[in-house]
Amino acid sequence: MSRKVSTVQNLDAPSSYFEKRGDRQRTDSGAGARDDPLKDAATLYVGNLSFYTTEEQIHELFSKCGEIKRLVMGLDRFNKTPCGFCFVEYYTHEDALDAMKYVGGTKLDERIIRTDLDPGFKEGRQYGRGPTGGQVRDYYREDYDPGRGGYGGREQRIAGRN
Amino acid sequence: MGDYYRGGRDGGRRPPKRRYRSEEPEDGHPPRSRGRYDREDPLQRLKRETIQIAESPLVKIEDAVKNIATGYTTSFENEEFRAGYLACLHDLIVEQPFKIPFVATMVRVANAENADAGKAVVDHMAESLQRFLLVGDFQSFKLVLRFFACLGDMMGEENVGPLLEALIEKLPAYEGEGNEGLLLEIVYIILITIPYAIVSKGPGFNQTKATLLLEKLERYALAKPPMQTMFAPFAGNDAPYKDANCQGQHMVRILYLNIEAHLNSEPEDEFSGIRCLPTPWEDMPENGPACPLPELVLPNEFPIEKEKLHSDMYFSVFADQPIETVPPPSDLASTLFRDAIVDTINILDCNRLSVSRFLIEVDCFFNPKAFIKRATPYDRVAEVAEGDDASTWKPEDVAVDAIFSQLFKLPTPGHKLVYYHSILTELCKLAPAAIAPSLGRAIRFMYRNLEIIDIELINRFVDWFSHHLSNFGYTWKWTEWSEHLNFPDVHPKKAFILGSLEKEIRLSFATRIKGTLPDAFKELIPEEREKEQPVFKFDLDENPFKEQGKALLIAVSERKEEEEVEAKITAIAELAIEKGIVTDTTESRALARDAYITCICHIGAKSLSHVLSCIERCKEKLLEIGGEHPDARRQIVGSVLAYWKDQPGIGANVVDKLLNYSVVTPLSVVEWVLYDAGPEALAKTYAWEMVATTINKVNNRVRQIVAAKPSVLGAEGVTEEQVAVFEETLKNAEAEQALILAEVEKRLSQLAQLTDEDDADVDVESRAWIQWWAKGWLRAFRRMFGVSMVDSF
Repeated sequence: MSRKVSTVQNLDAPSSYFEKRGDRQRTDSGAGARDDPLKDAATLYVGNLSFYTTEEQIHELFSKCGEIKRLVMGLDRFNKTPCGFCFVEYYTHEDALDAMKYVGGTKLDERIIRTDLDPGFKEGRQYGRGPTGGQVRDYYREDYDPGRGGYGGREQRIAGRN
Repeated sequence: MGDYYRGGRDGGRRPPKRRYRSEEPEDGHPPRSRGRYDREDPLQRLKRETIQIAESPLVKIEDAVKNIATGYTTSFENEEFRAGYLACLHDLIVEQPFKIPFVATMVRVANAENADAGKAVVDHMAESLQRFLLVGDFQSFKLVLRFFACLGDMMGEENVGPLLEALIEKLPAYEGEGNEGLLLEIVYIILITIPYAIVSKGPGFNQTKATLLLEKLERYALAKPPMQTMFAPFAGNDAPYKDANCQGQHMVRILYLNIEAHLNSEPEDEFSGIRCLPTPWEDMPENGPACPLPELVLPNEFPIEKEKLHSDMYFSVFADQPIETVPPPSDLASTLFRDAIVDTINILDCNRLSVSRFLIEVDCFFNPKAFIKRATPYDRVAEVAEGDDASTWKPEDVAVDAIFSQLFKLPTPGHKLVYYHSILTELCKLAPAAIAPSLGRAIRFMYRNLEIIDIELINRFVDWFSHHLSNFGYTWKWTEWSEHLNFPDVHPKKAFILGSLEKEIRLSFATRIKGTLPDAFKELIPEEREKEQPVFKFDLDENPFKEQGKALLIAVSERKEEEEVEAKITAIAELAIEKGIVTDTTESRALARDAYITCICHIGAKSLSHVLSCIERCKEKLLEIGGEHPDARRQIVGSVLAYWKDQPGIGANVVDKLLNYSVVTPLSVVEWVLYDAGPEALAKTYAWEMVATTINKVNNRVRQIVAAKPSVLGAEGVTEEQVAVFEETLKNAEAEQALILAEVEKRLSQLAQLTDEDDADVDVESRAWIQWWAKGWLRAFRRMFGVSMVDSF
């Protein structure tokens, strides 16, 4: 039943994140290694989660698109507490695409979540890469977000100094 | 809050929005240049305009059509342009059914301007028509055929008449056992093309012609395929509709009767029946020379799984209202709307935002008089429509009705259920004032009829309802159901409320959900539900094994050697005998196993990943104890659910993981639910999910093995031994399937006749409902196996 549609945009297209990285790698190696790492991707990156959202909640929503093989919570690299993202690994590429189409952009725990295809979880990627241990975006964030630790890390640092 | 979404609302023609607040550092690429329309070449521009045809009520359709047609004929000689544009027309026709009449009008105008340009489209589409038929892509075949029907006399005097006749002539060749679905599919395609051919005004395709075609289709269209009653959304004979004749009927029959009625009488109103269709060609100049279709090759066989073809059954959530907000099933408009909307939904699943926008704007694509103004409140419909006999059909109701027809389609809809959830969510976001009240009425219809809805659909309803509310702050007027709180828990209405709350909590957490409920409903959520982790029973003073249980927990969590763990398990068994709690070793060992599983659950209670890694680590031991006794696996299931008794959803997940590791067997899961969980469990969503998931896994396995058969047995150099192994695997899988079916049949038949002796604790009313659930489960699981068994032959 799955057929490529051309007259509307496809929501299961990956974002430019890996495209950009791929470009960079390609220019580095100089070779035209055009093998798409997301061609058979069965893993999703899920973003904009609340820090309080549990694996069970994520499982409950994402299993509506297929059986989940593994769930990896994103953690603050200092505190080892959830920091608002995760990886959801399905058994099939098809299920991951369906989650992109049907779940990405809907609410989980009353927040609009973002999904992106991912070539697969690697050890180390579960940790936030921002200066304060969480995600980079939370460091620079200027609004108050109670689900993600209040003000952004930078704002909090500044407030702490004053 | 960071509420943003990359996909963009329009879904279509605009480039995706840049991620402006990415959590990844920007890598210094300059923003993409703006003003793409300035540099657009003629092909891109014309494609864009064509794809948007009829979307805006502000653009006069005649002007748009003429512009596009002229754009096409002007650049027609350019080969590259021609190829690109024909491909675009083709895609638009098979992807956006709403636009077919408008595209056809454009082609008629282009044909009048330049006959070669018209012929090029016909030739291109005729090729696809043939290809779609040969590969058995009936949906695309139907849409291309509709395009031709809309070309009117550009197709020649008789329009698609000769082709439909040829198809009818061929029907007897498709008759035969197992082909019922296929026959209905083809008959449906012929039928649904007829109204379009009539309104497109080919001189030779008139009412008389249509009547002749119809006569030949009667015996096929009124046939009742073997599984039909199993696919009806409402079990039993009570009709929830005003027009009881349509209940339990397939859409081919309904469509046939609609067309028959149309041919025998004029439509009542200027917008009903066949007049609901758009006729954009009416205002256009002459067509230009005719360009008849080449003859089609009709294949004898189709390379598809014919068993999977099931006609939709009639379904509506609005067909019982005092005020008619959707066409009644006796009106041809009901089938014409439904057909085009369902196709739009099912084809464009890649972009729910586009689908939602099309559905909101559905009135743009039909006779504008067929609908009342968008977002007219239900209680004002009569007043607004009064006077000039205007339509009372609400565009949002017609759209919502079609989505529910798919969400509640048996045996399975074209896409995962969550897709249909997502369109309803999107519609609600796009036009809350119009859609939310419409959904409210739909929900109340379903709720009102819970006692007659198929059990599988009740579970789909719970699943959708809770998921939908989770997207909208869990707001619902629960108080209107307050009077049903006194019902026993197994009453379908009470069970629906309990199930929905349970699933809301699973998507959220207990305190949050309690906060959304009126007081009387808060009591439905026990306090235990708010605890983060279940109590570890060996922490309780009254537990006779508390020391030993705690010691076992430490041994398992500290990853002690197998001997040490086994010693702790044995200690519990011995103590049980010593204390005289049980008398024989079989029972004492069962208690010890229970302690071990309880420990695994408790160590894994922190999260799904924890329990998964704990199972992974202990799988040898788990497999070993599962094999200790014929009942051991079933007891393991019981131990898990006992630990998670307040959050059975999590328990069910854990059991599902154990199933993947073969620690428990499918049969043990089914047996535990049907025998050990208590008859009241039949009303619980977790129980249904456990059995349904397990049975689906078993059926899928058989299906996969059967599918692999040709490649395994046909492989080069395959040895006899390998063949034997394969045959053995298949035999075992099928035996397991048969065993489970037999067990399900046996036990549910017993429960369907539950008596005092079986369960003295159950009051008379509850017992009647348990019997009701058992019958419903039986029907649902017979259907599940029935379908999959057809598959495996």
